[in-house]
Amino acid sequence: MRNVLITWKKELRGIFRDKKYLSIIFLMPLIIPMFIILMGGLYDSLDTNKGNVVAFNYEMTEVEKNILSSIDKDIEVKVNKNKDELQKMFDDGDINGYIVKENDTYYMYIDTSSSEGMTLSSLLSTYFEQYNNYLARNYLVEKGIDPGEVFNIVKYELKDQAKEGTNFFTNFLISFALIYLVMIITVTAMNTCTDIIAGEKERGTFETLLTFPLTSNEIIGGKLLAICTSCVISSLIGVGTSIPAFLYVKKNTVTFEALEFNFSAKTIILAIVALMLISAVVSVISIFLCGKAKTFKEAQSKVSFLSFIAIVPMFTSMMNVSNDVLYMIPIANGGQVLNDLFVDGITNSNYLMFAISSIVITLIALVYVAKQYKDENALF
Amino acid sequence: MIEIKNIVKEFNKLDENKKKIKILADNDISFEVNEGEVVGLLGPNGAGKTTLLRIIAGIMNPNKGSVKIDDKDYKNNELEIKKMISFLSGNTKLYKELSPIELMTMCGKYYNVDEKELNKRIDSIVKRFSMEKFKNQRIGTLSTGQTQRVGIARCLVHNPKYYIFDEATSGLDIISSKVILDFINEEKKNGKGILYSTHYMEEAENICDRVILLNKGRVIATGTPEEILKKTKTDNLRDAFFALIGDDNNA
Repeated sequence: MRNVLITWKKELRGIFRDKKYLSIIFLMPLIIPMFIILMGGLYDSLDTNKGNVVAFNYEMTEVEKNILSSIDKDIEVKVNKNKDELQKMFDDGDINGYIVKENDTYYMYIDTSSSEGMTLSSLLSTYFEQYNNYLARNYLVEKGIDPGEVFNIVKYELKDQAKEGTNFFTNFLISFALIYLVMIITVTAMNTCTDIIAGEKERGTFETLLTFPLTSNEIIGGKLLAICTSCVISSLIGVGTSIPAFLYVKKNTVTFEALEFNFSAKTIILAIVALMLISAVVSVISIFLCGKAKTFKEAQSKVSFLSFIAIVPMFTSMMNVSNDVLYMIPIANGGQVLNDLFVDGITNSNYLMFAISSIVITLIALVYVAKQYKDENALF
Repeated sequence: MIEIKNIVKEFNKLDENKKKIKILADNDISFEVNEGEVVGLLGPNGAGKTTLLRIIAGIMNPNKGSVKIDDKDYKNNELEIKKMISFLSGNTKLYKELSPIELMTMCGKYYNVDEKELNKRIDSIVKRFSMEKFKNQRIGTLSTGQTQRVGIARCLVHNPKYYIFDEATSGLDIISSKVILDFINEEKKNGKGILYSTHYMEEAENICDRVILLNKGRVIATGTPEEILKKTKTDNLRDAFFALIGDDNNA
């Protein structure tokens, strides 16, 4: 163990005295809080029923106004009977869209290529459906028919299962931030591993290392520990800066204002352990991939395969995979476990599955890599 | 004593005839290096010197034959043997991001040298090689001569019994080469066994007690420089080498 620690210290010195790796480890994680603040603001502006301004070429009745405000209480209504002037208001950006009534047809003039236009289009379609519904009910009443017999043949009601404070946008942002975190671990591992493994051979210092009274396990152990340490530092910076970013977004946006995180001591400890395990798995896979590489370039091309694997959590997140087996798949489980820890809550069995599978995979890969390091073809 | 017996080394890579590449072809590569003796391993590039020295330093394994150092073999005593030897190669580079002091401390720790003893040794090595001015500077910023001195310095930290030098003066100017050659002479006087490979014949003639001439993975002559000159009826090792490989090269 002593020699592992000496090797670890040597490798860390190399990493932390190189500006390139310092920027990867310390600056790259700062993309996460920047991403959270930017996307938080963007999502907030995309969120439904916010700041819509619509104009009509006719005076609305009280009934029409009530229906519209029941759908969006904040919608602002303007009236101008001249269609050309309505178009000018639209072109000038004073309104998000306008409605022109000709005979019995209402024409909606909206630019659906913009997010505001899409939202308004959906909102006004709902408005006209409800208005149609209102007119149909009145017609039935006039004809002496109970509208309930026609409209309420089946009844339905939405029972929202979303966790309090969460919505599509909050889930999306949290998932992406956590996936990004896993990607940062991967990028850090790829870069440091390339340098520590192949860079050492290319620089000609590897032969020196082999002359020392060290076993291949001690060499690999020290190198793995150094790569892993870089990944853990990088991910902790990512998490540490993301928390204030989320709190900022929560405080300054409507969409995220009710968002709740679990920042208990237990969660933070489990999250740090999870980050260490994810880092260990990613690091050992990196060494596994580029262990035989003799040049920096060769290692870079071999380890680039890992960047494809790092996209897997994104797909699992997009496909909303909720199968328990996911917790056993390395890297793919990273984003899920962190998301569960901080937001949804994780069961002991799922955390254990994640932890055990990470340890087993790390050990298997480590044994293979250590064997690989005894093979002369990998060394010279 | 370093004892090499019947070493054969072939690589898994295949040559143009799809046969395994043999670097050390014969099974007659056998010799000894005693304490207080400098043995030169001479031969042109590709003769197999580096492969042989890597085997002796425990970096590579032979396909056949054995390496014993003070009657201990690598199979059972790898780490113990490595503590007895020091390997310095012209191809071997140093950690540029470390300072000479950090490098020597790291080496000393790997060799499990007691911390107090290590500090004493480092102080004396720094004085011996006049490294006071740059001992805390990063190796990457040092001149070639200074770097060479650091390279030798790190070999001394664990006070080895045997030194293995592989083309240690290759590419160095005469001043830097002199540092190494003086060092070899001093360590010989200190009773250390030294195996020294080079393709500079004149250099070997001056410092080696015995020489082993290698060509194409085969030993073509062994003995003291005088014995070889007498045998080949030549005036220097360079001519002796050409006289010896004449037939081999034509073949």
